Amino acid sequence: MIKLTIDGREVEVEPGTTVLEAASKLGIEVPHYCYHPDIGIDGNCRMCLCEVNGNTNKLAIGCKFPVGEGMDVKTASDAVVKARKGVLEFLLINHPLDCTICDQAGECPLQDYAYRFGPGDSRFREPKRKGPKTVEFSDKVMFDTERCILCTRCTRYFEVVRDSRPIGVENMGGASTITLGPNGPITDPYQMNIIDICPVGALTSRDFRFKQRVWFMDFADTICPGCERGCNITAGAYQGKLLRFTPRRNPEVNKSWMCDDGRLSYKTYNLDERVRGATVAGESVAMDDALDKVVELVGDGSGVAILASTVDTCEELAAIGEFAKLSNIEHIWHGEKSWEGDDFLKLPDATPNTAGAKALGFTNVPDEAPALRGLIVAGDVGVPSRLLESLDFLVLQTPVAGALGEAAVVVLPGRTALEKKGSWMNHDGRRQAVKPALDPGADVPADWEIWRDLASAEWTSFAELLALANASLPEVAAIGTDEYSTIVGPNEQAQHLVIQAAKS
Amino acid sequence: MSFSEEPLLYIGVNLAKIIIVTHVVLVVCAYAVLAERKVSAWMQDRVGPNRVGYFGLLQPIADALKFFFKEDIVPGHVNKALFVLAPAIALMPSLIVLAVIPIAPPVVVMGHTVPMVIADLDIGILFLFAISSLAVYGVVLAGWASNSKYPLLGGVRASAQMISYELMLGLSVVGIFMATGTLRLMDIVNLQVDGVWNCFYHPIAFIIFVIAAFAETNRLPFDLPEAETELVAGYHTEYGSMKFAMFFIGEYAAMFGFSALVAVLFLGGWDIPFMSSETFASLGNWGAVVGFISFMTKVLAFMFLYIWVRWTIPRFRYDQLMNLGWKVLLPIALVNVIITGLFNLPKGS
Amino acid sequence: MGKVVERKKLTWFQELYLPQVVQGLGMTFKQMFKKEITLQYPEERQQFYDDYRGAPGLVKDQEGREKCVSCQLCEYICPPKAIVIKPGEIGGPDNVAETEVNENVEKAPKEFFIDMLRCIYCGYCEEVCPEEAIFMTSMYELNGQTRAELVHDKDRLYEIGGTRVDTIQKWKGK
Repeated sequence: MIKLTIDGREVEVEPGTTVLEAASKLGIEVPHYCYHPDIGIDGNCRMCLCEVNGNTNKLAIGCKFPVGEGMDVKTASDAVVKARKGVLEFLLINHPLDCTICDQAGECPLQDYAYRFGPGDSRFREPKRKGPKTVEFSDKVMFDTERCILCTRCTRYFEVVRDSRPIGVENMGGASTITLGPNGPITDPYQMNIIDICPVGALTSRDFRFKQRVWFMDFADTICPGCERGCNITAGAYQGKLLRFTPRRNPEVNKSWMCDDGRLSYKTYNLDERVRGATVAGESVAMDDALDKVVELVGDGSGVAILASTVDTCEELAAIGEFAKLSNIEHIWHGEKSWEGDDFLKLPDATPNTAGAKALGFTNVPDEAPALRGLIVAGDVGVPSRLLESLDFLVLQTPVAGALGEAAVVVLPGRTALEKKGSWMNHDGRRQAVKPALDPGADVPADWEIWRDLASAEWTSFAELLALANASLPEVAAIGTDEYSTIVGPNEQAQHLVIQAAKS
Repeated sequence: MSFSEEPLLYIGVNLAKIIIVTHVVLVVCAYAVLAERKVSAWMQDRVGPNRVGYFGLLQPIADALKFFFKEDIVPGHVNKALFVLAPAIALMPSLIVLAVIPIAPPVVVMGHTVPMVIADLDIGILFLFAISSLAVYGVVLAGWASNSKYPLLGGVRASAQMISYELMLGLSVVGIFMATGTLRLMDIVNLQVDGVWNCFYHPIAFIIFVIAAFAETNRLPFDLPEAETELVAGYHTEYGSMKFAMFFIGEYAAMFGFSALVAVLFLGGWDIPFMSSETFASLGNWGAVVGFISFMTKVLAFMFLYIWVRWTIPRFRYDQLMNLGWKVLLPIALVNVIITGLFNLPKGS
Repeated sequence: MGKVVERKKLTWFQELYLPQVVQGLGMTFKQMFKKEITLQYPEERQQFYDDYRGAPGLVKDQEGREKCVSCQLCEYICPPKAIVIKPGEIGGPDNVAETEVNENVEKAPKEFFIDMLRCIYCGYCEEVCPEEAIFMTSMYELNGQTRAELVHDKDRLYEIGGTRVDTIQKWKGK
């Protein structure tokens, strides 16, 4: 272990750690552009200059400079402040005053650092570099030559993470620019990650482009419901409509990345039509009456099965299990949904909580299904048609009823993956917190509330339900009940982008 | 001419006088409102009403039409009978008072000499004070019947104010009776026509009378019963439509009445300086016309004074009003009576 | 303790009060013959200074291009939240711009609403606008028979704002 002093505070780190990493361990922010924890060190932006052992003649770049025993590092000395001002002045020489139309504005490190560390003015009076502003890198990514500060995070992302080179740097010196390779538009299914790591607005999402300014949006840190990888994401919504998903850094799960399919899947959660309030045989009724009807239909529970969606959270599934136990329902199955996985993040099981369902005693629908009197479908799930034969009744609890809605006796409302509160267990058995990004309104109660009222259960609050779920999931670290918004699972909550963490 | 000699002519002539006087008064009232708005506008560097007719001359007609077509609202919380009665009581005394005001020298109709006063009472001035002090009932009843706080406060103020100043009004003219020895207004005018105007004989009485007249008609600076800055609109807060208009007309009719009274008691009635009653008589009926014009000129000039003062002097505070009445005007009026008495001692003995 | 200001003692002449009344009457009488300053409103209009804050409007430059790039700073700054902008891309799928497509100007408002029932005429939108596209005009006569009429849309805002000829032409020659 190596001991060193940063801004007068002592810290002990492993040998080989860089100054920037050591500083971030102390919570000291060293501004940087080209360095990214999941891509590696390049050292071209010169933003992270630090003063080491009082050497003001030659400042060291914090992102690459390894720590040494007894080192004295200053991250905010006069020389450093002056050097940063100079670096920012250089970076801004050719950066257009585009913030008014730039999608990055509001979450732009260049903007933030210019305000915090920049000179506030430019001595550069000559015309700025001109270049094409709308270069289509693909049907998902748009490139703006003028805004680019040539940190090469995007090219290094493809080299380091994706092992490909669809884009690269062309020309030299002032004429350098990022350009498409000879094979034409980028086809990589993980290409939109370069939009997030781009520290300026040079790379923008053609899907999110000009949709809304980020400072008007509401963000929720949640989990991608796309597959059982459970990528950590931040869901951005504006006035009750999701506008984008962006990955949230979690080194244990998805690093800083997510697949384009998952990223663009937000559209499916903006429902135009949905089940609101309860209906019995097509007639709108009060929720309590509908629940009474379900209890009456279930009766002693024989010949009844529950088919639960694996989008439902562990807590909801625990509540369903409790209902099944109290109603003597022996068949509790979970639904299945798959898509094509790949070798990076995307997994074939296209639901986020299959592991959680299995841990709570839900099983796959058997090929030879027993003869059923009734079926209760919980959540958004595809129902195998063989289950629907010879049914007396079908109860549907789902956000969107679809074709099954006409066959169902009772239809109850349900929440989508982005409206749920609870936790999902990913393929590793890692239980991660899910937070609602949207509020569907009072006539769509939380799913667990419906199951609680159906079961006439002893527990009433979400905290009690959480305790119940924790008891049924012993292999996962128990989740605290008081600060639900911060729980994730066995590991600490990972940061979003390091840059964003540094900002706060 | 009397009723016993020629009843039809007597009735006809009197009816004609009533109709003429009433109409003259109401038209003057209507245009006094316009004048009020115009004069106030000029004093404040504004233009005033100028959209209805040339120079805004049709404005009173527009106002009247508006009043007639407005919904006649009687709020649910009022005492209905008194609420409806109050505006009438406020308006009628102001009109009745005009019955004893001589407006011109006598005219000759079909060989009969007709005095230009509707009722030439021996006790004209007493009748006048008796009737005019009834007007306060209109205000007080309106305040009471409205069953609402601002009107009630307005009504209470009105009763205190009008009763106080009634006293000064009466005392100020006592001197004139002592000097002239008559209560008949026709005689008082005739004495002034051939002599000197009373305002020169009784200057202090004249000033007190004018001040008291302002208070009696609830005009600024003594408009405490209305006092819109304090009491919303005072006693007529709950009134609208034609009932409000009746209060309005009543106020202006009272102004007209008191202006006429000032003209008769202090400014020589229809007299024109340096013209004697013989001169008027020599002009025949034209003399009456000249006299009437002279009389109206004085009345209108005095009404202008009313308006002029309103847009010049701010409202008195309530305690200032009472101080002025009881501690200043009353002693002066009493002293004035005594002094007048001393001057007239030789005449009586 | 505050300073006690002695009330000025009145002279006996002032105590009389009536001379003061007469003086006041003279004052108002004199005033009657001064020239009136009233404007005959529908026929005569007040002349406003340039910085008068009337209804906000959007302006086009002398070449008829809309200056607004829908950066939404006015929406952000607006204290009563009267402004709502839906941004759009020029030449994009919505193709919002009526004006000639300029490859240097990518963004323009697809929809631009100012709710004049909420607007407090503070002028912050004009002050914050980086493109000098929104101005407080001298238009002060706003009326409508429905609430919807007083929510000005983009067309109405351009009608109010008109064309503004100025020396700053940010996109010229780019």
